[in-house]
Amino acid sequence: MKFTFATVQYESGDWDSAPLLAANVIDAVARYTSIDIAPSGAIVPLSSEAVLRYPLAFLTGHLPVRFTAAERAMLRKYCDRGGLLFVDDHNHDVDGVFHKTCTEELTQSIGALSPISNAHPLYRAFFTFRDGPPTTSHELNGWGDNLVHDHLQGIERNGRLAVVYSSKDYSSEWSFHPENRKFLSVDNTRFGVNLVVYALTR
Amino acid sequence: MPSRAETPQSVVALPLPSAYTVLRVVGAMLHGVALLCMALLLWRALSPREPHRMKAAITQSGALDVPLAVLLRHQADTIDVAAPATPNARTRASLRALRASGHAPMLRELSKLPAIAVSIENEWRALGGTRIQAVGADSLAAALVDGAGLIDSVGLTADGVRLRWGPVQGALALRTVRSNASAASLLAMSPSAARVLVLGDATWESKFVVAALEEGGWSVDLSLTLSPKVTVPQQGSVIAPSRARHAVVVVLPGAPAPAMASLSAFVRNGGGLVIVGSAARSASLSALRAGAPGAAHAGEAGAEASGTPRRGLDVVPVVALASGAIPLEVLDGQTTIAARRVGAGRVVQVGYENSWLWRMAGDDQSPVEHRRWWSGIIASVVSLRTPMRSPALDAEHDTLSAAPLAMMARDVGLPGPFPADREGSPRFQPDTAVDTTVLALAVVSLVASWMLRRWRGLA
Repeated sequence: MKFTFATVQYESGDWDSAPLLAANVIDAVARYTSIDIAPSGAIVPLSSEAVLRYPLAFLTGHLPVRFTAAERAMLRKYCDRGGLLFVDDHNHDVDGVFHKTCTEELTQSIGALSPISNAHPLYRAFFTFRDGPPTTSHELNGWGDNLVHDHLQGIERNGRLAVVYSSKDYSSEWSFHPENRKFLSVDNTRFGVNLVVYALTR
Repeated sequence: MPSRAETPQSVVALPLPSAYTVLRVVGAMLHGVALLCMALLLWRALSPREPHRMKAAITQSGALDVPLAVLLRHQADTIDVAAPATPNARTRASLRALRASGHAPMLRELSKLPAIAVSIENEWRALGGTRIQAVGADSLAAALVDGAGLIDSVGLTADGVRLRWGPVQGALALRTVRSNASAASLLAMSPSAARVLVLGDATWESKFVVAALEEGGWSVDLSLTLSPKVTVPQQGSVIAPSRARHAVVVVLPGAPAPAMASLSAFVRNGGGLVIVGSAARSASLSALRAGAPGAAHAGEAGAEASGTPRRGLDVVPVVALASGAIPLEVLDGQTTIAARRVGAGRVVQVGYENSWLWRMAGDDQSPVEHRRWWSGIIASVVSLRTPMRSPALDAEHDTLSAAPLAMMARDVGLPGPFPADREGSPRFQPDTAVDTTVLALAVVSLVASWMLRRWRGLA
């Protein structure tokens, strides 16, 4: 069965704010690894049992996040069974509405977020990121909260990451037109490969 | 003056015995002595003897109070061993050795110890669950103890008491409260001691097989192919199966080729092998697999959440079973799991390719069932012939025996009371010195008698 990159659809907010991200991550995984990956991603409602067929799922947005009861229950079930949810704040803004509401929802549904050590296996799963999560151009340009976030945050289940939460705005960083990859001196989607490899091997 | 002829004959001069006569008489006497000695020896040989007995006892620590070397040196016919305490493993081995060397140790007073037995086995559930059974006379009070201390007190019954417990530290001992009986049992293989090597590529099946095994208490090494030049873990080279480190190897589709080369030797030397799905198509496994892989077919949509969840999984059925292979699971006429022995090892071939879907998309119990199912498959190929025990643990638990009295009866025979002092016909104790002296006397007498005969002829 091929690996399929899945984007989570939720009732509130703008879940589809990074429409090109999936294609670029899929391209990077196919480019660097021999992982059997589906050429196009999937969009799955968070409240649906279908999300359980995608043990790695991506969630993003700019707007306030308020999960429904069904979404909360399914998210809890998803994480308890071994799924990994990658959440990225498309606002890149720790005071923004997405961050506040989404972290509240995650805490209520699964548990409190805590910083992921920069020595975590996530940063060595395929490429090596000695300084932890790679910075984004949005951080370096001082947009959003004008911070360079040193750590990602996470929630663990049975010794494995069940949620990875990013305030670094990878949604903007990785959502470029595929043709523009050739202009990048360093492929900025390499950390996406690490996320996929980590999810598939741990 | 009377003539010489008229001299009265007042003294009669008796003729002295000749040397010939003396030698003849002495010779006859010596002959008689020799015959007497030989008759005595014959009588001693044919007379009933009191067997040479020694006494020994088992101390409170379970050891013999007389060293084995001393018992062997005395060449006793019977050694009466008083056993007021449970003999430890070393004592049992000593008694077995004495019996094998013809000294026939007899256990006495063993009946004072109540017969008890205890067993422990892995339940193959998360966090190393165990199942304990203890047996003894009805209402006998006993305590279950492990290396960390008291576990529980139990009232024994002849039918047995069954407990489910978590992981135990070292050996599990059952000790009676009032008497000094004890029995102990050790897990043949603890999940944490048996490392499992998972070979495959980066797929959800690899991830969730590893997760299920680790959550079930197994220690897992993994070597997964990520690209032609990269494997997980990246820190080292591909991990090869090793009997010194691994009890079982799980081969998933896409396993790194270098790790497959030594699989045959691994299995023939007692390692366990689990072949999953289309991994059986690998040429490296053709001599090891339980059967040929058939045509793959998709699972029944949505069945993973039904009462028969494995119907929902994609399967590569096992066809054309190898010689000696047996089907373990047949679904709709197709063999989905089969097993065989190869050399000293065991091989299980699992047809299911995406069991992870059972865990993720199954009913509420599916994560636990998936975990148990994988633990069961791994446990079925673990060789118990070479239990990975800690030498330090064995030394510490010298009394290790699940049913020490039964073991004693098997090894040394049934116990009996001390023999009463016998009365009646006189019996003598065997005395080698007396026999040697009598024999020497007989030989000397015979030789002397023979020499006198020679001198008599010369005289």
